[in-house]
Amino acid sequence: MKPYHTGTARLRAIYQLPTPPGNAAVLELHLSDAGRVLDDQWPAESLVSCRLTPELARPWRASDLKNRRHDCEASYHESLPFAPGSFDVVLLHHTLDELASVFRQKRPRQVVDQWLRQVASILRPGGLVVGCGLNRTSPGSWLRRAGAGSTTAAAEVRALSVLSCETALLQAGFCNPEVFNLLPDSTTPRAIASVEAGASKRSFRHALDATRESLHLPGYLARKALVELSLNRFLEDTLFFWGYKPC
Amino acid sequence: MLSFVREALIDAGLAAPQSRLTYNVVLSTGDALSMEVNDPEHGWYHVKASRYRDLSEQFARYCLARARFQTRTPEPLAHVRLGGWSILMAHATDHRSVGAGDLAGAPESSRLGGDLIDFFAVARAHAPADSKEPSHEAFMSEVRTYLSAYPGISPKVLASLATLDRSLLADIPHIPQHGDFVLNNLGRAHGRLLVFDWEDYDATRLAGFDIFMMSLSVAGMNESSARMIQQTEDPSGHPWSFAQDACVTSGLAYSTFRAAVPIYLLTFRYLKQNYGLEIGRRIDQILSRILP
Repeated sequence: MKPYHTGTARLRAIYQLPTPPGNAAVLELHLSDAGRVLDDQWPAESLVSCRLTPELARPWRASDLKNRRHDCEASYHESLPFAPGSFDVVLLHHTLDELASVFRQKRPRQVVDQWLRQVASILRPGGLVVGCGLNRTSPGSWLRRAGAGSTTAAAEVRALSVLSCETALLQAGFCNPEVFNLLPDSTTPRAIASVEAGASKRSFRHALDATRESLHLPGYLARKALVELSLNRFLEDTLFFWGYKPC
Repeated sequence: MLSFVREALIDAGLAAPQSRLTYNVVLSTGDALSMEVNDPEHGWYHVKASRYRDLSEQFARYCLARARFQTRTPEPLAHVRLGGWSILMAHATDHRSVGAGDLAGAPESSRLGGDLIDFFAVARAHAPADSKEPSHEAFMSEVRTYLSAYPGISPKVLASLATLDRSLLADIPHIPQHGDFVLNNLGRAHGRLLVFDWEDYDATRLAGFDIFMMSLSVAGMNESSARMIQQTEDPSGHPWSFAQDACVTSGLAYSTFRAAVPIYLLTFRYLKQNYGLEIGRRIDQILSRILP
């Protein structure tokens, strides 16, 4: 089996792109039963997988850091239970979306700002936050909102957008933020394309060009217009981002 | 990992230390990451990085191809090893992709078609004048050794390797082949043909292999296309209409090219050993139906 054969392997490789070399303490924050990025193969000295819950079953104990791998829980109603400067890397795989869904009484941007600030506080200087989330401006987002509006089912909350993601990182105190479209999705990713206009145009131009023979002329021209106006970056479903805590 | 790419570009003098680099990254299902990196002052670079494979040999092949095919291929710039990564850097060329329709019709009727024939002429010009080493028989013996040890290869394929027509092999000229000459590895810039991905360059010197791969690529990578290429005496009007002129340019009789289709498929199966299981299975399927 090739190293990047499975979607999971590619996802981990993408998360490791900005990771600084050397020993590190890595934390994944998640609301699901298990984290989706961190595994025992992750090249770091200590790994903490922390589930954010309303109630605690396995609370965090700092003494557990002596083990390489530790699974714990923290309440999302309280501050993160980690000492300032505990980690080199914090992973947020759809975590901000999930938190925004929990705190529906707040604006998603408020939730993002609050949690990014908390993450910044537990990172060491030079530390990295890296994560992904659904893009608020993608057509998938509009369709899901419309669908949820007609039923009683709760709609997923999309906490990020191309324009707000970088600003949120900067306002939380991170530097050198980078935002990408994660393609085609966060389950089986194959590429990240920068949302910077020129780079995005270049990436989507290549992709469209490679499929042009399979498209009818009107469809091709419509897609071409989107590419040349650098609009694809606003329409893709998933964003990937990172930022560094200043030294 | 990107910090190593940044360091490699700065060390090679391709980016300034204070530059803010922009990255577009692609993960294939293979064992290398491929990315385009932009330095605002210097433009775009193509960077390939692997933790699992040493790319220095690949870099040497790129350099050889650049020396022989000149502007037909992007300029390789440097190869370095950093932090356990093997990193290959080349200029990224602005280009559009080439589709099957771009190569349809008589080669002389389009600039791209003319360039394609010129590509085969340059390849032939770099054929070793007085050496037929390694011989085609030695190469096919390597293929046999590899495939014999590969689990799941059909007995029909193995039997075909044991009974290869030596006189047919003797009729095939020795010309270094690109090795992965498919539409995905072609581009066009300002109307001229560009050829990418030279990692298998000169891995085989079986003339006609590149012509067959491109024919299969434009006709469809399946059993019926392979059979059509094998059985059609005059390819005019077919998507691989360039093949006859390309064979003439390569000094290869078209009848020999058609007869050698199973040999080309076996070579394809061997050279693609670094690819995923799926492509291996697909070639095996074509092979087992094409072989007599």
